Amino acid sequence: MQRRKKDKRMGAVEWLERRFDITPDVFQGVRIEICGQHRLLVQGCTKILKYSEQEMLLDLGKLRLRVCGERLWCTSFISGALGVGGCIDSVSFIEGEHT
Amino acid sequence: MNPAYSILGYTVVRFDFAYAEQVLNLCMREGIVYLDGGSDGACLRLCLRSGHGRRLCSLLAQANVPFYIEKRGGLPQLLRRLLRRPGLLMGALCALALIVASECFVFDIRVSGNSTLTEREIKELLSAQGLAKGAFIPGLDTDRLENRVMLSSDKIAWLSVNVRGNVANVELIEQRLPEPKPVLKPAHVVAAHSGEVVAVELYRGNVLVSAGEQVAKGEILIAGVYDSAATGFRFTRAAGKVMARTVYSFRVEVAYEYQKKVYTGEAFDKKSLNFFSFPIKLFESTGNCGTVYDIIDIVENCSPVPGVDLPLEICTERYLPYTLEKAYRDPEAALTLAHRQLTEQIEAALADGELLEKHIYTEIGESSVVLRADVVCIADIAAVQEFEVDIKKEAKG
Repeated sequence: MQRRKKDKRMGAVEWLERRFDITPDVFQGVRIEICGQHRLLVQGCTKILKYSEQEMLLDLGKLRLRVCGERLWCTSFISGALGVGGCIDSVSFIEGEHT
Repeated sequence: MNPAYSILGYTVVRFDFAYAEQVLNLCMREGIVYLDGGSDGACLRLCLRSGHGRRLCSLLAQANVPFYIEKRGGLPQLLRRLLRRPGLLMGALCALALIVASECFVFDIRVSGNSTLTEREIKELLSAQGLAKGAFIPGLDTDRLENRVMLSSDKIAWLSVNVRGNVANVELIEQRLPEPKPVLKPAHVVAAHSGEVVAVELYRGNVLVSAGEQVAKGEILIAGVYDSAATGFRFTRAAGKVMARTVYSFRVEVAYEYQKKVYTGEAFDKKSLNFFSFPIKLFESTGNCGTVYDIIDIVENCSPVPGVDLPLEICTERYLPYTLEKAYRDPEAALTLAHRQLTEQIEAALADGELLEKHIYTEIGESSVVLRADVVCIADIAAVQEFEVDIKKEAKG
């Protein structure tokens, strides 16, 4: 039941975004830019949950972002804007608590 | 490295990878900006501005995160290091003060437009009126200086002093005075040598000889007196060329023994530093360094740029002691030298003449070589001989 409610609410946000041509970061507060394979910029990051050269786990509020790759390093982390350098293999969203 | 970081100063902090999330989250929370990071596998490095670096260090210390300050750099750090060396700081301050002060003093004086007056003479005149190396530029009144220099010398017609930067450019035009006319006295042309007259070239006067005539030494060839029944005596300055066949005699003696200058090989330098117009002696009195010596004056400007003189000169007075020693030359060398001297004498005597015959007699003695030469030639034997005229007496006569 809860699962269904959540899906509905998300649908409404998505509908609003599509209906009024609003960029998703307005509601979700998250914006991710990837420049090639070596530069990633995440806006709306509140915390680094895991940091290593192979994997970074970032807290985006309701979402979590996993960045996998080689020689990863945090180029900057100011006012919720986080830059990641290195060789990026994958970027994926994760739901639920980080373990 | 970001230039702003280099100017404002930076700190590189290093800590273990295990604390990476904690430290980076701390940075974000506290608004600490870092520029350049990097890792070497075990540790993470953050490059921060000095202020942020200090803040991060204190926060890490509070959070019990072990860290290590890898490097502090930038301009403030450099200045801090310099402050620990007061000598360098004083040198820099002195250099700065000199640069500022140097704009107020004359470094060099360049003179142009002089032909007969030497640069040294002009500089002495200028120096007497207050313009010399080291003169205070704001205190120079160039208009007054120009007038005073022109008044102090009759040889300068016009003078202009332009101070540009540290260089005083002095332009001048010299006074062109008419050459004084020589006071001419009446004169005869007499024979400087005995001989047979070949040709007479008369410019002025009364010719008394003609071609083919024999004349003795001292005899009047062209008289400076005209005798006229109508006007009486008239005096003039006789002039002309009298070519005569004559014999010139020359004698040259070269001794085997002569004095030779032998340098001892020692050299004594007396150095002094000329800063602007102030000489600073850099030597102590060394006493008498020899009975006889040659002195060489060497002046070196300390300017690193060729063509640009600085008011700093190193003056070296080099003393080269020598002794006069007796030396001997063999008769052959003496004869060669004698021939050379004889040739020079003949060439000098017969500049306009024509050589007809030359007889050389050689005498090789025990102590010297003597060359005698009789040269038969056609040469100008005219010589001017002035005479006094008592006008009153002549008028009475």
